[in-house]
Amino acid sequence: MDDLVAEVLQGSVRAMARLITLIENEDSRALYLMAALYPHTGNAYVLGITGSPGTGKSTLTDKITSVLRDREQTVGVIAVDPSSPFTGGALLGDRIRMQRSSGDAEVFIRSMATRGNLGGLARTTADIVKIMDAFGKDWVIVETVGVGQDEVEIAKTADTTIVVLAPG
Amino acid sequence: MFDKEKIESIKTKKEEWDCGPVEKVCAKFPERRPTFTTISGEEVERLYTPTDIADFDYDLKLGFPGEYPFTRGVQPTMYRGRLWTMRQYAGFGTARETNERYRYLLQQGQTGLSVAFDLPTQSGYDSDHQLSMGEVGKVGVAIDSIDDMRVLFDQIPLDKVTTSMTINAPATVLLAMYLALAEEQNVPYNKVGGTVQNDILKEIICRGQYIYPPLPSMRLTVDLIKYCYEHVPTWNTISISGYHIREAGSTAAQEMAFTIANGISYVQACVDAGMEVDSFGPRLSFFFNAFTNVLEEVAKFRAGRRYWAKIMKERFGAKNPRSMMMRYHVQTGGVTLTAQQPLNNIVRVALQTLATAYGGAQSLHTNSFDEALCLPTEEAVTVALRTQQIVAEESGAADSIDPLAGSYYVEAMTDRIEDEIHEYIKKIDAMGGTLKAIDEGYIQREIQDSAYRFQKEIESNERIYVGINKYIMEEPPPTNLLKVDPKQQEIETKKLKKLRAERDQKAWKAALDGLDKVSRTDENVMSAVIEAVKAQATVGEICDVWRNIWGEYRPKEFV
Amino acid sequence: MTAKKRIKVIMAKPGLDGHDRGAKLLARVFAEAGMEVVYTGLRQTPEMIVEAALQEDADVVGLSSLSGVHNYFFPRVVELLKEKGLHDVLVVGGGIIPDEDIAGLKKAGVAAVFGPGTRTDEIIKFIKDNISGS
Ligand code: B12
Ligand SMILES: Nc1nc2c(ncn2[C@@H]2O[C@H](COP(=O)(O)OP(=O)(O)OP(=O)(O)O)[C@@H](O)[C@H]2O)c(=O)[nH]1
Ligand SMILES: [Mg+2]
Repeated sequence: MDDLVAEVLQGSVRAMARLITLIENEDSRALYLMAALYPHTGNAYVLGITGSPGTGKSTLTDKITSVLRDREQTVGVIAVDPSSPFTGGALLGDRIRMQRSSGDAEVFIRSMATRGNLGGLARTTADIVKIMDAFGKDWVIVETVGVGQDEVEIAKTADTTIVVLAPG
Repeated sequence: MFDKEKIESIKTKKEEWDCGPVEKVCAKFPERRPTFTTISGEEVERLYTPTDIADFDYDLKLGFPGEYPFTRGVQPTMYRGRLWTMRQYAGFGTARETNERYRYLLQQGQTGLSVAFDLPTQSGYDSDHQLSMGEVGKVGVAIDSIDDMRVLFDQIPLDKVTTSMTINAPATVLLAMYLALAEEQNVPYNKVGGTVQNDILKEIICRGQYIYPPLPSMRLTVDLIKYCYEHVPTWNTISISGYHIREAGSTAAQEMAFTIANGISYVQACVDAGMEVDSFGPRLSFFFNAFTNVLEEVAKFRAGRRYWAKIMKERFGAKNPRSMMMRYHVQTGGVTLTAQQPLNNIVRVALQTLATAYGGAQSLHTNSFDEALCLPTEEAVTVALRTQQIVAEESGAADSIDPLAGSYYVEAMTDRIEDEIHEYIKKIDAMGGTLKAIDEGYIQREIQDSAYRFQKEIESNERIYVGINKYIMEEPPPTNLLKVDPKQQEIETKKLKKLRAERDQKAWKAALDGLDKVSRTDENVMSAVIEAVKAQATVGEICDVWRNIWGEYRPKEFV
Repeated sequence: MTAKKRIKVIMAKPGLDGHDRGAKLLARVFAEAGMEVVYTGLRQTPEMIVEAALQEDADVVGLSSLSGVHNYFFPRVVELLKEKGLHDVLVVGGGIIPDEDIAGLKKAGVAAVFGPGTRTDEIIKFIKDNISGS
């Protein structure tokens, strides 16, 4: 397990992807793993993108990412979509809207489902931000579920939060 | 048709019948299902009577064949004069192989050609492009340059046969090749007949062969329409297609509604480009599907014809009746055909052909029984063609015009589908037109929801599908499948290499530069495209000129 | 095993093929069956599909192909997955795939191939039965 953390710190994308899964699954070793990563965090700028469903959060995330990439910044994206309260499953539809960035191997996009958490994020989203941060991403962008404006859990995690509103 | 008193009395008697004999029988022998619906989910009554079409007005609703509102057909004599054109969609491998298939089909009594291009050609990539890897000649014929086109139509005189080409984003390029070839055969443009699909909106909605963003794509569409109006007067400049919408999952009414909505957008675009509606209106054509529920399909066709006539007359102010006619090609429903017990498909196709004949189509492709297995083998396509010939020549369906008119069922269903079309058009208008509705994913979602509903009905056995959820049989794996030589790409790549080395480089460069230049203005691109194909520019090279100017479209996909 | 494991699926359309009715349908029913599904959209190269599988740490990659290019694309996806160290991803495919090609695809590492008319619950069962680690 320590290996996994070490690999993440050495820049293994595969290790990061797997570690995210462990954290997402609230694995029993999660606390321990996060503690090992913690000293390496605090360098990324965390941008939250929130707003009602369909207002253009993914599209904006994609655009911001490509601007950052033009400036040679590395980017991690976490895109959260709701789990169905009935089946527990989820259609994670944000990645498909990030077609510019999804072809760029330097952009790490991770879709995640809320798994019953309210407020627009999954319970583990903040930890996953930390993982991308420790990995060395200059920016971590978090797209929340399309939520009402009173649900601003993301503001606790992000350095800056953008609320996307559709005109009219 | 009936006076008020008569309707009232029928109504009363029907109620008595419902509460009397029907209830009594049902108490002992319940009906097979609580409700009956068509394959599109339209509820079907136990019995239709005059009360279902109480305010039916013959003149307003039907009129006469060849006359407004064209419900009964677009020509005065319909199939008594000439049968529909039998046109099998075909293409695979090299131009040579496909040419052989065409000549075989013509020998067998087919009366028109229909070209299926491979996916690289449809997406504007040459056979040697990286993204063409594995795809060359696989599901259509590979056409890179006018040299291939010449082989494709070898020994086929272009003034004797009409040709339909399923080509959309690069429609201008393939039409240009066809016209240049006609010139080589000394056939004047006004003797060339056929159709290009040229319908980019449904590519974005459900067929996936787009290249450029919607606006420049629409400009190419309009340029082609305008050029043909001026120079190729008997060409069908667009085939506004519901076929693919239905195959992607829509209901019958949605198929007609979304197609008409797209049609409205094309007409508006031409009008906005300064054209008179009666200049291009007569050359617009349509393309629809025919599923197995015969009566619903017939009603759909009738409703569509009536509604389109009204749109052209009332909304666009057309004066020429020809502009109001919905002329259309039909293909039988591919998605209704099964890989299981494939011979059963012949029966489905026969019913679908009957629906097409009763519905009054202008041309028809019948699917082959091996539809869900592979591209049609020669044996299968022959049976498919014979199916049309049997319906046309033996069944009597072609001998009297619109023979189902006046059926309480068919008229009521026609009205209902027309109402549904109208509701969708109103909704799409309110959203700001099809481009908006597509951009927001509205049309795509409606189609996908219908597809999903259909699948659920099959899996829950609410709807019976022979060989799939009932009457299932163990069977050996199918044999005798059509295979395309995987060496295709190599062959084409070699040819291209030679072409690129041997053509007149100066003429080629000048033609592409010329195309680049007009494409950046508002001028019509068609003449420049024709010059480019004559200079042996390839489909990919021409499409790249536009990719450089307009960029590529990234679809917004909706699940 | 962990408490909250959910099956994660990448549903992909390789190549120029525009037939997406089946793929979109499956994406939806897989989600209803409790899976977390990422649909890639059309025109994916093997590289794009594998990159998505890698980043999403997918358990399953589903490949849908109806345009006769499965023999070209499916083995390449499997190969690239292995190259990236994604050995335990379950690769399943479907669409218009002649019976005689299935053996070759399986040999190349595709776990199963489903054709037209397959019930979706049968596919779901296969995935649930064959997913590694559960
Ligand atoms: C619908 C359809 C279309 C629609 C597609 C609409 C859409 N948005 O999807 C339209 C009309 C647009 C179309 C167009 C074309 N089509 Co088409 N089409 C069909 C058709 C009739 C049905 C396919 C379908 O959607 N079935 C319903 C869905 C639910 O089933 P399914 O996709 O098979 O999925 C099931 C299984 O296969 C499996 N499955 C599928 N994918 C996956 C993936 C995974 C991971 C798993 C586990 C399972 C799985 O599970 C599903 C549930 O049972 C088939 C023939 C047939 N009857 O199968 C031809 C067919 C596929 N088409 C064909 C062709 C040639 C074309 C064209 C290329 C023709 C041309 N030259 O222009 C065009 C171009 C399309 C393009 N852009 O790529 C050929 C392909 C031949 C081949 N492979 O050798 C076929 C076989 C018809 C034929 N015999 O000629 N088509
Ligand atoms: N006109 C216009 N449309 C936009 C803009 N941004 C996004 N859209 C469109 O709005 C739709 C939804 O965009 P997404 O980026 O998926 O929106 P989202 O907020 O991420 O949606 P969810 O994640 O589902 O809540 C798509 O059709 C976009 O193309 C914009 O700036 N202008
Ligand atoms: Mg989003």
